[in-house]
Amino acid sequence: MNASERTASHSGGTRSPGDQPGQRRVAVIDGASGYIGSNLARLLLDEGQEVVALSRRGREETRRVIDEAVVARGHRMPRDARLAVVDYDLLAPGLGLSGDAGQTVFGQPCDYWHLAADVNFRPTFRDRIMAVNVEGTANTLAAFRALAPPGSTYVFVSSAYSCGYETEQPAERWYDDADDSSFRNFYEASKRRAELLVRNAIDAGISGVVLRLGQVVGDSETGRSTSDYGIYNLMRAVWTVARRRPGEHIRIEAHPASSLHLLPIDACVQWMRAVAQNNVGALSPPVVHVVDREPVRVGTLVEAIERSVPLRISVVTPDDFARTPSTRLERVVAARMAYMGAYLDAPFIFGRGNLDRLTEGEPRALDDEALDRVVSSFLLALREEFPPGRAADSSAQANGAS
Amino acid sequence: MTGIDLDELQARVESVVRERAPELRDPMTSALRLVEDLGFTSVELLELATEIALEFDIEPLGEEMLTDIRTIEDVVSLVRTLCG
Repeated sequence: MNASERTASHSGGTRSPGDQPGQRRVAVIDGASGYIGSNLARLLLDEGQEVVALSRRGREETRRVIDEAVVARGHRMPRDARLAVVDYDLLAPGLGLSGDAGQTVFGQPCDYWHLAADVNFRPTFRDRIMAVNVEGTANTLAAFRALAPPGSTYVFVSSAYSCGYETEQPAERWYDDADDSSFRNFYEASKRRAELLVRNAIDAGISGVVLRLGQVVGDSETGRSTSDYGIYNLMRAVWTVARRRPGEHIRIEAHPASSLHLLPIDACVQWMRAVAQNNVGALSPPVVHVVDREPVRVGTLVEAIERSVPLRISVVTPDDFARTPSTRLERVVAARMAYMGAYLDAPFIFGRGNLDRLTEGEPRALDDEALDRVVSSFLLALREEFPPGRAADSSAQANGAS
Repeated sequence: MTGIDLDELQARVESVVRERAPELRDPMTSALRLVEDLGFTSVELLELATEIALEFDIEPLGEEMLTDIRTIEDVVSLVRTLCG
């Protein structure tokens, strides 16, 4: 792609062949009250773009979530923000949109952002994960193909970890379908299968693109996040132990070179918007890894966590871990980390050619200072919500003091 | 942990659940359902399981155990079994 094919404007709207420069299109976002969806909506609204938020959390609650999105850094939503909230049902035919609602959503050419997903790594939830993430994607594609006017573009927000166990330089290409054993969890498998549905739709003629995100964390400036996944899961586990067993030493098992692609939410939504502003149809295949250039080493992350909790934490190799019998405390932590821990088994280096082709400049990555802010702000909030000393007062509560 | 009094065990379980519950009910009865009545999400159930293991100094609750837990009473029964 040459420079003339890039769109430097921030006026919004995915470019399809034939679009006029500067033309604004509505952004339809499903899962708009989720962490990424609400922050994307807020970025686009702040830039003057019209947003239709598909959400099941009601108009007021969805507006509140978008108003308080962390990328806004405390600023209120503009009074003239062009936001419409529409109730929908991801698993219903036509997304359960009535005539008026259907007109609001698909009345003009749009960028349809499909973000709604069940982010769940627990194995007992397989049926629900597949229903929401695969059947839900099929439903949105069917609605898009039936109702979206010509010139619309479908943007599927997937995960960089849809590569499954293929961790050696995962590339921006379509992966073949694979059985569940090729993945760490059903969430990864569901994202792979949903991607293939999008591929089929693109092959059949829709304008579309798949964005594979790294692990999205807090804002690079404030550190704030409202996510509960990934490293937040790890930090919750660590704090639960730290407040009850301060001063203890625990070991965490990890590959010595393991690393995580942690993507600040502000960089994430800026990149998503920037990719969508370009002619994604020029990509072959239209798959973009939205990941930072330099992953964060697990050791660095754990050191940052250790600075905020009264625990000693060692990252040890699986061999070293096996040499010494684990303590009960370590087993409790390991059980809590069972799903996050699966991502500590390898260094992931995702190929990133398309992001560099489509965008100019680099939003702020998660450098050491930003990582400290992300970690410390979350652990501080947890400390306020669940203060230290639970173990000390439990017997008093049991005796009726509660 | 052995020889724990059932009333004390129940009170401690309820205390942990009360602290972790996204939504509180009054009264907190043992028949309350963790997900439907108290609003626990999948992640919050994992958190509760960790708290319970630490509270009673027992082995971690496995995934298969978590799937059987629906109510506060179920948690009490499970802890009672694990405490021997």
